Amino acid sequence: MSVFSAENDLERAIQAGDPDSVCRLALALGEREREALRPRLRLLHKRLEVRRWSPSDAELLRWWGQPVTTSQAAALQAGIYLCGNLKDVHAAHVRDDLLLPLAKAHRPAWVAELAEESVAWQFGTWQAFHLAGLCPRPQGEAYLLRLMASARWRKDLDATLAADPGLYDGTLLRLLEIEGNADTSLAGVDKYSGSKLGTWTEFFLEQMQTGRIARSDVLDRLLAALECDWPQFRSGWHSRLHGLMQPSVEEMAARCARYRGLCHSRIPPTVTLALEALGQLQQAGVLPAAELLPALRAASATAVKSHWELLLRLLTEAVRQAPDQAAAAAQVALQGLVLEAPPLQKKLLLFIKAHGDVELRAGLADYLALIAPSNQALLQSLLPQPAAPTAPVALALPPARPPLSPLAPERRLTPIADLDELLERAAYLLENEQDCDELERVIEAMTRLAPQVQEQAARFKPLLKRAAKLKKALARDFGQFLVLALGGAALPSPNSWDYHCHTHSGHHLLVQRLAELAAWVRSGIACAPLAVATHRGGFIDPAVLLQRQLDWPAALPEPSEREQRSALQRLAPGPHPTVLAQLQALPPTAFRLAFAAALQQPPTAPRPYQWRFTSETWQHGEQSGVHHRAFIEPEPKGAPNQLAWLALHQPGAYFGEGYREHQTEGMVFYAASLQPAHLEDVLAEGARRLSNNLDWWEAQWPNRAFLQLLLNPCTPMTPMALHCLAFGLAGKEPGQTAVAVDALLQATLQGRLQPKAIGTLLGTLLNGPMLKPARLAKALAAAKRLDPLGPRLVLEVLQALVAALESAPKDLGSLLELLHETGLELQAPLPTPALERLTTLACVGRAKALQKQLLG
Amino acid sequence: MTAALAQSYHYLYASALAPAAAGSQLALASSSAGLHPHFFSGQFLQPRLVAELLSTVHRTVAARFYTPANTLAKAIAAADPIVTAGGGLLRFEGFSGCGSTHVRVDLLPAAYAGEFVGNGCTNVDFNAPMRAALSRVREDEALFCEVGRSELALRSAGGEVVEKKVPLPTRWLRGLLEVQAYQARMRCQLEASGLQALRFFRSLPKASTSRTPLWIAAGPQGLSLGATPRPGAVRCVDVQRLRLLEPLLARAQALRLYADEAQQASAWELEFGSTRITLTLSAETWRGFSGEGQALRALIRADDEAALAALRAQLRWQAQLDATALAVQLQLTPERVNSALQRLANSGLVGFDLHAGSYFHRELPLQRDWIADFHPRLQAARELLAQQAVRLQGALAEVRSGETLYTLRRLAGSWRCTCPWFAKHQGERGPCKHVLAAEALEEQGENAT
Repeated sequence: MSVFSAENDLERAIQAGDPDSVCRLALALGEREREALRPRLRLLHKRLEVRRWSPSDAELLRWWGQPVTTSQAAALQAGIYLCGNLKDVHAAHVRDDLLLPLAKAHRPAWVAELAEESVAWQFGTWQAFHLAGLCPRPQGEAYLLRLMASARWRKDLDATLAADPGLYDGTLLRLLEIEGNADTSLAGVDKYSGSKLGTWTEFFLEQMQTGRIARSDVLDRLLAALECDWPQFRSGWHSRLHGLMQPSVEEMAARCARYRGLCHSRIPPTVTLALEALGQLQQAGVLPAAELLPALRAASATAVKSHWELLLRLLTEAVRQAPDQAAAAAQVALQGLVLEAPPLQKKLLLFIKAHGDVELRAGLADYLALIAPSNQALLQSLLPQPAAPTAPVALALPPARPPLSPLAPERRLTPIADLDELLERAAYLLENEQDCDELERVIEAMTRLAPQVQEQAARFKPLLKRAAKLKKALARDFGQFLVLALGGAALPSPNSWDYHCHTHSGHHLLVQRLAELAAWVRSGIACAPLAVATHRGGFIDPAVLLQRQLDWPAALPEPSEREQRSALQRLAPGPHPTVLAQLQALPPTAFRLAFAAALQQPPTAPRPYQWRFTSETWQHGEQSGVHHRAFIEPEPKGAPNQLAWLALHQPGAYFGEGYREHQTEGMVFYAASLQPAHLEDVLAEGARRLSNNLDWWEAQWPNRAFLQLLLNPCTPMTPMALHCLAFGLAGKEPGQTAVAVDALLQATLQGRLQPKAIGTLLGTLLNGPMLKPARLAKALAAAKRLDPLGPRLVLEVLQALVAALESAPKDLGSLLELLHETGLELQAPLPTPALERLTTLACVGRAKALQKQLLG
Repeated sequence: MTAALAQSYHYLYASALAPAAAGSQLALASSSAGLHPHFFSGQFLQPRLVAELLSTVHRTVAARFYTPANTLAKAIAAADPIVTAGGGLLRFEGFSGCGSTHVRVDLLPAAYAGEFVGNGCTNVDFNAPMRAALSRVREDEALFCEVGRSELALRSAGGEVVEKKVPLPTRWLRGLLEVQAYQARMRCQLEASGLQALRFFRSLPKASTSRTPLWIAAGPQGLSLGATPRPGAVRCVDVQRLRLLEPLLARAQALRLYADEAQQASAWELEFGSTRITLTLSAETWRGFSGEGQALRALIRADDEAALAALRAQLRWQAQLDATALAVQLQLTPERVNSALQRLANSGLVGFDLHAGSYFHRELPLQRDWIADFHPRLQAARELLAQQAVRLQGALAEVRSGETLYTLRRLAGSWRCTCPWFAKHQGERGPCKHVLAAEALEEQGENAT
């Protein structure tokens, strides 16, 4: 790059950093002469642009001779404005303070276009342009949005309006017509600017009060905006302003058709507004029932209970005013029977009873299955020909059964047949790290087929290429295993500590295991590793383990202590007398003795510790919250169990809390497969995580894996499993709740779970601050719909729940309603423990009414 | 970066709903390759229902259920809906901005009183003021409609010309074509009455379920929602998309759920008697339909030009294309006809009507050269064949792609590959380029023998 040399006076003025001279010189030239200078100026700008991100760029300094000064940049921008076109000015990012004097001196044809395009980030400048008469007011939405955003500082808006009264000529009203975007909308500005700084709502109310803006104009635009069905957050602002304006009956009567049209809206606040307005018009006698009812029919599509309260009021009044419209009104009321709200259904049925004709009553038969059991008698009384009563089907829940044996034939992992299948499954595993059973199959095949693997190592090349690109914990580790097994160099090590500098001991276990396995494969000697699972979920058949130990090739070093311990931790529970006898007949070694001891331990032997769950309230200044934690009792003195020890001292360390690449569903499943017969440690961590994220304040998708463990027919429903289930049912995230509902149902149908156990736990937890009854009721209602045995299950859960309550939590009504309706459906009286407990509860509101009904 | 093609819409006036002598007049402006065809003039017999159906189409095209992180700040313009007039049916079609949701409204002859001035397919202008006006349509008022205008009316009416340029991402266009391939594989799995459907929709979670596949099955009290697969259940991810149908449910007579065997897409059809609406959802919102490749096999076997040409000559805006009857008429095997129909669907020349279980003629108003060779996997497979990179060895095959040699093995009649694409999707999103090339080579061998 040579050194810059100015070719004309203009460039010399730029180099001197003198914008005034640049102006003077450029304006003295004719248009063609200025245009001729343009290419050089563009090039100059392109070269000097480097200074924006690298002011001390060596090449730039050499070429320009000195650091580019602010005045030099300004002089160049002035030159570009005067000699360039719209595109050049955009590219040059001409400073705001330069633009106005430049435009006053020289006004090219594209100034208005520039204003339109750049107003979004140079609002003040272009407002000044407009006031100086240099360009017309920009008409685009960007200008309006910028104006909208200016109300974040009300004083700025007042100053803008004082300087530019022309804004009152329609521009301000246009603000009501645009939806806005994620950054700027009337609702957003008002919500986030705070009342101290002034809101657009206050502004419009003030302007209407002072008469600067006509009420009728605002009203028309509000209704037009509401007709667009914008998202609720944005359209809610318009309905609120409408409410604050309190339009008179005359104003509303003139817009009656629009209010009727708004009944079709899918935005609940808009429907509320429309119904309230129609109610006022009806009261004033300006809206005949015949015109009102079609609108109410449109609003009857609503699923909002409060809308139905309003609708019923309007329907009642319509019938009072025009008795000949009674049947049509009853027809509207019929639509509400779909709502799952027994008290509302009752009101609607009574309305239909009073006003429905025979034809309508006959049609009620279609609703039989949708009406709550508590309203069935009333519905039957309305039918011209009562339907035959349906006796509850006497379905009983399955009796308690132990979980399915992990060694059941259908749970056996089928060994991979040959190298072709191995290649394909290994490729699959690299992309599907959550499939831990497949990991075991592939590892088993890699070691068993080690000679062929080494012989045909070239066929693994595509997999090795892919392995280097993977990031998720398990997939990456498996990729590393492949590389090492085929004689490659280790991939760069991932971080193995979290933000708190906790090391991932659990992850290290996996890495160590894979490194040892890779060494065996690399040796090219076929072997069967002790700790590779034989059955799904990580279980090992003791007979197979014994055979593996006996068949271990002498040419290979003995499996490490870690491998031996892992194998024993994965043993399937249950008496295995034949294996034990074989084992005891062999010469004793340390491993065989430990193996025999493991086999002799009864499956239900008590653990040396128990998990407990508590909640602690914390307070920092004005903020407070509840934190939930699981802990071991009694605290072990040593480390009887590595997982438990980790969970106790470094909550989440096993799963890599803080280090997101380790927070995967795969890692949860892998952790569960390490001691598959004792999932309590893993599930305790699950309960801790689920309970601390009940309101889904943070998206923690891998937590779903803890609930998926409960779907496994081999998983016993231990205390921590029940805790996971309870928190899953009461969580906010619908996907997580759906898994928990399925787990509840499946565990019950398989006889692994007794409803009383989960009901009692839910009742106990409801005594604390964790669970919200309404959310729980929703999850249980979903379980009820899912299976013919659902109602019986829900009933028994709720009966146990009520019996475990110490006091009535807020919003207990939703659960009591479900209990009441399910009890009626199954014609099952409340059992004594629940009855006695319910008598002692101090309920209020809807819960109190239901309590009375339940107590009979 | 996603490539985009600029679609230009040029309307001689903006679509609008205006008061007419005995009700309202819905004037839909048409635009198709510089022409402004006039298709329909008549009156809708269920005005409120049609207004709601058209609003649903508008909401679908304006919807975006998934926004990739790198396009967060980019405003994505909505493509205008497409109307097809043919065989006595008016069909309005739209595709969401994210390419994961396709909607089609079918207005059957019983839904209108009027005449078809012509048959064809065109874009129609749907704008916000028109949709706002549609919300005011009442059941007891007459709703007249015209799709396009006669030349005479165009000359006499003034109005502002509407021009829009919408960048259509190629993945969006691919998805629009791929939907037909999915629909053709679907079968009706579940059916519910209108009331049951309404109750079911109201039990759906309000929040997004985009990360958890949910399964819809027949339960003791109608349809139910679970998180684990059950026999006969239909998979659905992000039930938020179903909210589009919510305003229509109160009027629906029946709900039908269709799904393909691999549960990679589902279609939700609401029946209203004289009208229907079908919402087709992709397996995941982030996936859209573009990367599915269900039609790739039919496309790579594109050597049956005779069948294709013969079939194309039969296209006369039929509402149903009976494959069996066409096979008899053209003296072709049903397989050849079906394969040719798949290719026509992938070229945007026919759509699929799930209710009738057959294709129908409609030519998407897109530039023909855009539609050709849209599939990168197809192109890559052809390149592999051209480079003779595929070697068949009985139940095994080797495909050399660059410096990498992929091994394929045949299992239960289909090829399985070791490439990352196949490993990840296990063939559910169509074959990978290696499998596609192996299949094509195998077929060539069979044909040669």
